[in-house]
Amino acid sequence: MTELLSVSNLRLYYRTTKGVVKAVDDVSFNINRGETLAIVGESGCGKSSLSKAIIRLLPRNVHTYEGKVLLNGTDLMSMDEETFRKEVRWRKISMVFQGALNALNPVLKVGYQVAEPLIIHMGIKEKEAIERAKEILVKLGLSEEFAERYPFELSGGMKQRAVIAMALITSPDLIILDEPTSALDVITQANIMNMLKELKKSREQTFIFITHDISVASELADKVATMYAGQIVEIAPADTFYEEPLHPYTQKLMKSVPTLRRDKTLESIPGAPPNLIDPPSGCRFHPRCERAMDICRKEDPPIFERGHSVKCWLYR
Amino acid sequence: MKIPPLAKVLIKRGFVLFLMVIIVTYLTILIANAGGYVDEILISDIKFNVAQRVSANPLYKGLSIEERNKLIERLVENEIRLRGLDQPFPIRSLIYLWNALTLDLGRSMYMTSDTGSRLVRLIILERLPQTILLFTTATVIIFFIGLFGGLYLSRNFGSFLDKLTIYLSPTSAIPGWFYGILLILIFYSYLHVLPPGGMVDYPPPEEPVAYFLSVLKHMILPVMAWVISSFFIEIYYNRSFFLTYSTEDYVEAAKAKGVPPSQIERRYILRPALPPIITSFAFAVVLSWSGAIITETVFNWPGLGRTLAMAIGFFDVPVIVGITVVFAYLIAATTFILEIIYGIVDPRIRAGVEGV
Amino acid sequence: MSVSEYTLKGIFKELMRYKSALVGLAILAFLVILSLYALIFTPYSQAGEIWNDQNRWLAYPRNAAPEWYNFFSSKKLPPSILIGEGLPNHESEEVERNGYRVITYLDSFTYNYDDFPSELVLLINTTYFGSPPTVKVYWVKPSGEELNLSTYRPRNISESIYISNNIMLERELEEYAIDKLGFTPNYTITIPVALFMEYKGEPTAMKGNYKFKVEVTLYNRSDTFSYRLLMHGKVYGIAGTDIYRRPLELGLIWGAPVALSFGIVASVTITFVQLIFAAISGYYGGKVDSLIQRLTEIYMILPFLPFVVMISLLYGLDIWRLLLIIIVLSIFGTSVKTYRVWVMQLKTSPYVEAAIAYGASNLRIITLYILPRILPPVVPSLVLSIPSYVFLEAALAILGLSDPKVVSWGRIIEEAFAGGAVYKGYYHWVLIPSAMLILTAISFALIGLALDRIVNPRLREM
Repeated sequence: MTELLSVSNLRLYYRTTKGVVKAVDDVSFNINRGETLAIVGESGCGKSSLSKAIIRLLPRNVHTYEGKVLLNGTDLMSMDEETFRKEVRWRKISMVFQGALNALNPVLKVGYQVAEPLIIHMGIKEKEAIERAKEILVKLGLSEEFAERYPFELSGGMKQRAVIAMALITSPDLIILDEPTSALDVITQANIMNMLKELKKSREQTFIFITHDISVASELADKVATMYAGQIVEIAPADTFYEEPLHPYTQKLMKSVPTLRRDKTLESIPGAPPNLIDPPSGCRFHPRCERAMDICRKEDPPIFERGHSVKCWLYR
Repeated sequence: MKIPPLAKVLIKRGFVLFLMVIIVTYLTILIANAGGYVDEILISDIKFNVAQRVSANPLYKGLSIEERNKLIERLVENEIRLRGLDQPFPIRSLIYLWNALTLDLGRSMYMTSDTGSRLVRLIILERLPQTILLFTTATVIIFFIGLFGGLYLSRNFGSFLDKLTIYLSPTSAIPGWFYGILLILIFYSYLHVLPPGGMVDYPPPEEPVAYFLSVLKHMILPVMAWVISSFFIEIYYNRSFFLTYSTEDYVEAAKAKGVPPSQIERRYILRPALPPIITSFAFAVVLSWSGAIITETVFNWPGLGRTLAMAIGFFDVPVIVGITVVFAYLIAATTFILEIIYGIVDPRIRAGVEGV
Repeated sequence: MSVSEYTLKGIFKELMRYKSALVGLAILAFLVILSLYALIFTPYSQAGEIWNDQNRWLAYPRNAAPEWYNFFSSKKLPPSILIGEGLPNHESEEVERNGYRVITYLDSFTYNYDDFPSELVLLINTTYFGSPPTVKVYWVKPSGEELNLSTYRPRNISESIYISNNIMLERELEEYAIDKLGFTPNYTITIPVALFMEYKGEPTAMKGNYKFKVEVTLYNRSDTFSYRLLMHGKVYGIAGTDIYRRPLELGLIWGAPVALSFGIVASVTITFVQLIFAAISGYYGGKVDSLIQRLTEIYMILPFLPFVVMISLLYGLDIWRLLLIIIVLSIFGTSVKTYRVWVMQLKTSPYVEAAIAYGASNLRIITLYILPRILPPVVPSLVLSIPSYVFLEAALAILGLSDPKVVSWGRIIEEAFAGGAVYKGYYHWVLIPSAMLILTAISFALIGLALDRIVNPRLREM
């Protein structure tokens, strides 16, 4: 198994009128080729910012952007924007956006938008690129004619497929999916997940799957990472994650998810998600953790290896 | 024959717009006639025509003055009855309406066209191009300044230029014609470099190029006045407008896709923004014409606006009514053309989706 | 653009943080104080009459520039100077000659200006029995020269003698001056010039102590005589005067309430009526909605200014009816469409649905729930449109359609144009009322634009 992506000490802070938001605060992880890493967490924990940090979609008010992102050994952070645009964007990393409802330009035809990466990055002529786009759309379950339509003529599920087709067409090494099914109904969600599973198998596609819905993540993930307050607090292989999570936060997440056929009392996590401008001292989860100790209040725990990575003083 | 949905929408709109013009024209007639003036217009018109015919007719040459006047009176009465003008007002108003809609605008009371005719239609036709020339030029210049300035600032917002534009936007609270007055004071009264008004030097140069240049020289101050007035607010609004459009999700998606910045600006920001841009441009053009009255008065520019102001001074009601009707037509026509362009540009309208 | 989350109170508190808005509010406060002053301390209800009455202003100079003009000019212009009865440096000596009373008066004054007065008027008050008194007038320049300004016999109880209009005297003095110069200068020698000039090639006034001598012969014991000499200056007051001698500062003060009330009333009324129509249209939908939509479109086609002009001309409007017409011609403007969309958005919001569910009447919902919510985003454009109505009134005045009983800044500008201010260089006549209009516009624009930045959340973060 070859290591495809290696992220070390990635930081992304934003400047706002209220202070500096530490959206991604010292995040590290690795992914091997063909693996799917799911990143789960509550809203506002920084998951979307993490995906943007990897694909370098930075807003204007960036305060800090540092760390190391190695893709097949090449450090992406050291590239200038133009090189990054020509060599990395969509050729090596592509992205399926959250709320595909607005990821498509309303005044351009769907087929063109799916074909666009081929035209830009691979120099393929428009006619041929659109042909290829049509092939992929068909493979993803959309009839050819939709290539000639405009986004407003497609349903939510169809648009999501189109967006996925758009992300696939250049056969990038890594595809980041940011809440790809959150805005869809359950049935369409299931269809899309099946499609992704199929792609994973047939193309050995590497995915990063970002979601707040743990059960959806379980379908695709090989590894699962929990994100809290801008930090990754646990990364575990999928089975271990669901059966024996180590971090108190992950444990609580598991307990709050209903299972279909088992009788389970649901628990919620007390308190509210932390303020990313002024996070709690020490371990950021300590105000909501039942097992918080003195040291948790004072010092931010490092990452311990107990079979898999966990960032918690309990495992010292 | 299958009519494309776009055509259907347009035909419907065209019809509705024409209906509106009818209503506005009728309103104009009602207002103008509540003082009894429109009647006067028509009757004086008839008297003129009859008098002309009588004096031109060799048969009547031998008549004495009293006899001739009696004849004219009788003919006028006949004519009035013939034209239904002795009818009650509601019916008459419909006659006037028909006349106005077909642009049969009668004769003026005092004013004449450059060719000496008193036909209101001719007077208007003569002056209309000058108004269009001046104001369309100004509007086009302002439009492009706003567009490119706004685009530039939306890319570089928060910069010094951006803040400067915001702080200077109150200067646009002052209308162009007012800046015109100040510009005349500076560039004519004080500096003596530019003419204070008119369209062309007197006597006008014979050679076409010199004539053209002379007109250009006279256009500088009025155009500059409007450009100064709209400058900062136009750039500011465009900047806010483009900021909204450039923060759309699909723009971010395009950036992630690696679309080059110039293409993003063109296809992902400008193209979707085109419909509202076109709308505001068309409105700006139309508004500039009907607001032309004061500017043309200040600069003594021989266009429709100044003609209206002069008609006010002369109390020449036929001209006033005629110009108002023509403006209504112009606005309706521009609106209609706008809707055509809108339809071509926005695929949602082409598909016949209403209410977009 | 959706409905904002701010309340009206919240917005105004936020407004205080913007420097530009504070400047705008300061200017507005000044204008309001000016208007209140006009309404309370001046005979405002007769303002129009007073302004139009040409006989009231004889004591003022014609076409005088503002006094502060001297601050910027190298050539100092004189203000109006009054000497004579009851004023300092006025001496008199009475003797008897041939049985008649002869009183010799002497006024002295210092003159340190570079330019000349515009007119000289001798104001005489006299009562006599039989023969009117003989008045001999002399002028003594600092150089010691004594000039004879002719003899007069006033017949009325009070009489104004325009010494500077005396053509024969002008010719005499001109000859005298040319003689003293030794050449004919390139400037015109009018009487004021002759009385004050240095004998140079450039027109400069002689500075120093001037004396004005009047020798009056009274033919009857009981005759009385008093006089004053008014030398009209070339500067006056804060704003100067116009061609009818009217002090423009008065016009400025009187124009303030007009500008403010016209602009504010127009804008507020039109906005509120538009909101109400939008609320009805968006809330009730159906036929009412369609009707209001059609009306909006008709208004779009209607050429606003030509209509206003036409109505104003044909029906001879006073300013309040003009205001009414403008309001009527604006109420179905395009803003109604925008507001209507907001109303429709609000109509489907949960708390409105809840209100319907517990049986609140439609009127209650509209007035208590919907309208207050729409108000915040509407406020900026309300404020921003005030200047356009102020200028609309000015524009109509410039076209000659203003109410003759109302004194407005636009009307002063119109009078300036008609009086040839542009060609004769009486810039202050045009510039000062223009400055007031500009000030008004900018104050509302500053406030309105700051409000706009507050209410637009996306642009605020930036």
